[in-house]
Amino acid sequence: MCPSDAGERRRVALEGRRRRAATCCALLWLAAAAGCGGLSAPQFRLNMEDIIRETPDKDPDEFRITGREREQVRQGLLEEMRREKDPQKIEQLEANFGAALDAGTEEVLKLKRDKIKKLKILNTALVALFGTPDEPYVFPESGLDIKKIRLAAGPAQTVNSNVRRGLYRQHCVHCHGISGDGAGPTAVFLNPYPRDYRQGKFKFKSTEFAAKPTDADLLHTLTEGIPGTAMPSFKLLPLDEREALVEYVKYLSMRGEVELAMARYLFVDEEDLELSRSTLVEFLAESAESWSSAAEHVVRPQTQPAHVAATDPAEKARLLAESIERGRKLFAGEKAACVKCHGPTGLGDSEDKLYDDWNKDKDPEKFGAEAATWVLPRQQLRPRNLRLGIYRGGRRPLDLFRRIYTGIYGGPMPGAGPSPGREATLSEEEIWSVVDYIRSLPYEGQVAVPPPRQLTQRSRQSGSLP
Amino acid sequence: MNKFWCLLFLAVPVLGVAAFAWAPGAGYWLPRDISDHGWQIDHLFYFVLTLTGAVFVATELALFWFAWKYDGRTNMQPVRFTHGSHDVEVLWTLAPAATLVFIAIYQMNAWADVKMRQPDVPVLAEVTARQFEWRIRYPGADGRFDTLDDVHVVNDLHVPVDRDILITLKSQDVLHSFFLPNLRIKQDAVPGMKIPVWFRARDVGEFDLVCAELCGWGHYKMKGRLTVQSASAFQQWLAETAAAQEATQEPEVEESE
Amino acid sequence: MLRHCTLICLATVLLLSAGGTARGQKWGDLKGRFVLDGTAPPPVELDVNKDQEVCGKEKMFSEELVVGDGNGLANVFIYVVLERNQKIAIHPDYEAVAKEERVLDNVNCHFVPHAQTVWLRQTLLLKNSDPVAHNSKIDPLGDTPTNPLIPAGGQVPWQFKKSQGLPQTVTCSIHGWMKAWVLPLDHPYAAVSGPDGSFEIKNVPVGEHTFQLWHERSGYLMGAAQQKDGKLVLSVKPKTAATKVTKKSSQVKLKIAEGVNDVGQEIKVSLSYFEGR
Repeated sequence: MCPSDAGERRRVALEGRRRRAATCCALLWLAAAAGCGGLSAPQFRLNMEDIIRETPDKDPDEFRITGREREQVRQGLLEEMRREKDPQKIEQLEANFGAALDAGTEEVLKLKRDKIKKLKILNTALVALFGTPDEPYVFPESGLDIKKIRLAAGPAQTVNSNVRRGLYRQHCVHCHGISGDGAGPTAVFLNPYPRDYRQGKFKFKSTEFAAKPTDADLLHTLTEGIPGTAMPSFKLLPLDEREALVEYVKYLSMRGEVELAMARYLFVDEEDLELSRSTLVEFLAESAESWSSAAEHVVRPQTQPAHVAATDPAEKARLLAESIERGRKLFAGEKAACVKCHGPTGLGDSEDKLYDDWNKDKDPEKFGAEAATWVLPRQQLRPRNLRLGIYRGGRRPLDLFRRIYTGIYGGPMPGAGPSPGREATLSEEEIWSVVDYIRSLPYEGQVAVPPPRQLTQRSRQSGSLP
Repeated sequence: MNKFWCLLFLAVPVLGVAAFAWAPGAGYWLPRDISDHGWQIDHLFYFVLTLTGAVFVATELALFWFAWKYDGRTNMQPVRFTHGSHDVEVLWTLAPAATLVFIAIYQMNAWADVKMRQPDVPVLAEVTARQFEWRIRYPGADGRFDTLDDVHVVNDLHVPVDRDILITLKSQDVLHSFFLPNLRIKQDAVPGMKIPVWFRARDVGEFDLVCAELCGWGHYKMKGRLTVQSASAFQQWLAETAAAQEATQEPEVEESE
Repeated sequence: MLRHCTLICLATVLLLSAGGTARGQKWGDLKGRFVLDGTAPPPVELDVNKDQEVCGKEKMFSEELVVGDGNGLANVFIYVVLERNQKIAIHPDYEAVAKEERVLDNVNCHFVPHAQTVWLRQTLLLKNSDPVAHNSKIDPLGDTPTNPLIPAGGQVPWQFKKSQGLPQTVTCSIHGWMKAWVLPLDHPYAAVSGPDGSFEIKNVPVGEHTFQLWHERSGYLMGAAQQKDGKLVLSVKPKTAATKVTKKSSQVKLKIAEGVNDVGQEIKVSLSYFEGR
């Protein structure tokens, strides 16, 4: 290096460095400011992708006809002319083409504005009934505990050192979505998809087919998780936090059911919704009633399997073996017809066109190009592989009994037990036999296994594991 | 280099040592050790900390000294070029090498205790790591795994106190790591492998079980609970859980924690 | 004196007319026949992948678009639509009908009948006449759902509690190709066109009623009523790309007169309703 004017060089270098630092700072500040501009309070996402696609903020009368819509009307009129066989009529249509086009576009615009107006009414009604994700609200008719909901709602933060808020957003929203629609950011990677609470259909519960789950059922799901799915266990959360989340799930479910009913009323039945307290309560009442009466519909078996009551081990084993054999015959028989879907060996391989209720109507062929816009592509549902020993609804004999007795609401599994208006296909004793058989399936054909190997000096040296 | 930067460099060892001196008192130190082999791990930790700490402070002070003494603005001595010293280079290669060899041999016993000296006890539980929870399976009354009476629990590992505990570690999907901070146990759960892990807990209580290998978006909250109980309490818990798993009737009273 | 008589006569007439709908109410029958305007596309064969010994005896075809003799369009629902809280007079003959059961049978692994209406006062009997087990999954909007497993030869009675605006599906999970349509209504004035496309609704109260036409493949059919030579004629407007077929826009008001109202034996339904999906 040339030892010329060191001071001069240093000054130039410093100058450059200062300028670079200043530019970096300015860019960072701009980026941060721009990012902050995008932040806003989260909103509930509207239900029914196939009915409602936009959430408009503009006034309905500000909407205009688009070029594409006008072209559609024009094409429709041309097609009508093409179909017409009578030459006189064709001449008439040609003469009135301009007027017909204007009338057609007027109608389309009117329908569009009507739809936007109805959307606004729907939004107002839902906010009045349930508030927003940050500020939830419930009518007393809903039967929900607002304190618990406030604990679970809102941004994840600590209000004071011991009380937490935003539990739902901290633990659940990334899978279940802000509206409880099961379409959060991580949902698309999962099989099965997270539950969509908005339909009010829950699969794993202790109640009858059409009834809602009890609070205890939801708490159990939160605490134990669902094995075989991505739903984890939240056992380590304190009980009050879990109960708050249960209440919030009920809140989202109730909101979803009301939203669905109102949207159908407005858009499918094409009625007008009056924004009065009594009308809103009317929509709320059915959902609220089904939730509050869930505990009355718990399925309680009246009998127990015979081998449970037996005390002598030999007798117990004999009764159990008999029950398993009976269950095997029923499983493969025509009355219960389990093998038709679960397969002759219980692997769940006999039916491959099953879907749960959420995916059933999402036939990509029917929807064509629109199917590409779906957040969650259609997902198949396989009958359970009963040889894995993984039971989503719980592994107790009682849980398996309930699955067979009521079927699974939200899925294709039919129920074999009685309910108001119908007699049972399988008696309780028969269902217990099938349960015993199913529980034996993962271990079927096992040879007697010797007791765990005690490690000897030799096995330790060779490094083999028990 | 001007004085400001020299002092800044001096601040690094000073603040570093200060932080390490302050941390234990403020609670930011090693978790409570309830194991019988953990002291070896802690001892190694302190040993390495002291050794590297000393070398760190020494080198930083040397750096500061040279930067201060030979400040370009005040020091007008011409630069002297040197071809180095062979002896010095040999010294500063051999000294660290010897230190490392020493450490490698010094820690062998600790490693063997934790990873190689498997106790002669039957496996207490099989822990399967899964995104993002710990699925635990006890062999049940017949003492054998893969039978109908296996007791399945999630995220709540119960062990009796003052006994050698042998766990078999598996993974259902990706790499996880079975980390018991209070027992100084950390073992990767490798998919496809059944890895034995053993420890002996000296105290009862509830402790953490965390995942120590990045396994996905939920890795940060993949926590479980280790409950160390007296032998009788453990047997009772196991029996109760096994009975609840066999339930054919709804329990009369809802169990709350 | 004359004024008194007039007043008394007027009062009597008013009382009589206000008194009972049964006595003063007149009734008319509604009948007609739907035909497909054009050649029907060939029927789609169903993939029978279960219980082939019972279900695969003959080839099974999709019943989404059934065209019978003389191009008759079958399985078109035609039913009276009531406003909220609107009531309609029920003919006394229907009291006997209320006690009848409507049957949805599983025969040779398909539902018989494919489409029907049910009055809420009637019971729907889900039957299984096959030698294999079936299940009937019904999930009516806003009403109690059910999914019973019906063994061979078994039957399950079901009660709908809510009137629907659209027919609801009944499916079988075991035999995935099976599908039927059931429309529960709170009145009996509904019909489904038969294999030759004809339908009849007896004893409709005389007056103007709003009717809805629906077919499973096309959705709502846009009805239009005209008076031709003093007779009521029903037609179905063809669908174009620009037409927005909505529930209200497809409803048609028919003025039922006393006696038989034959609204047309060749009610053409344009092929445009059944093109595409």
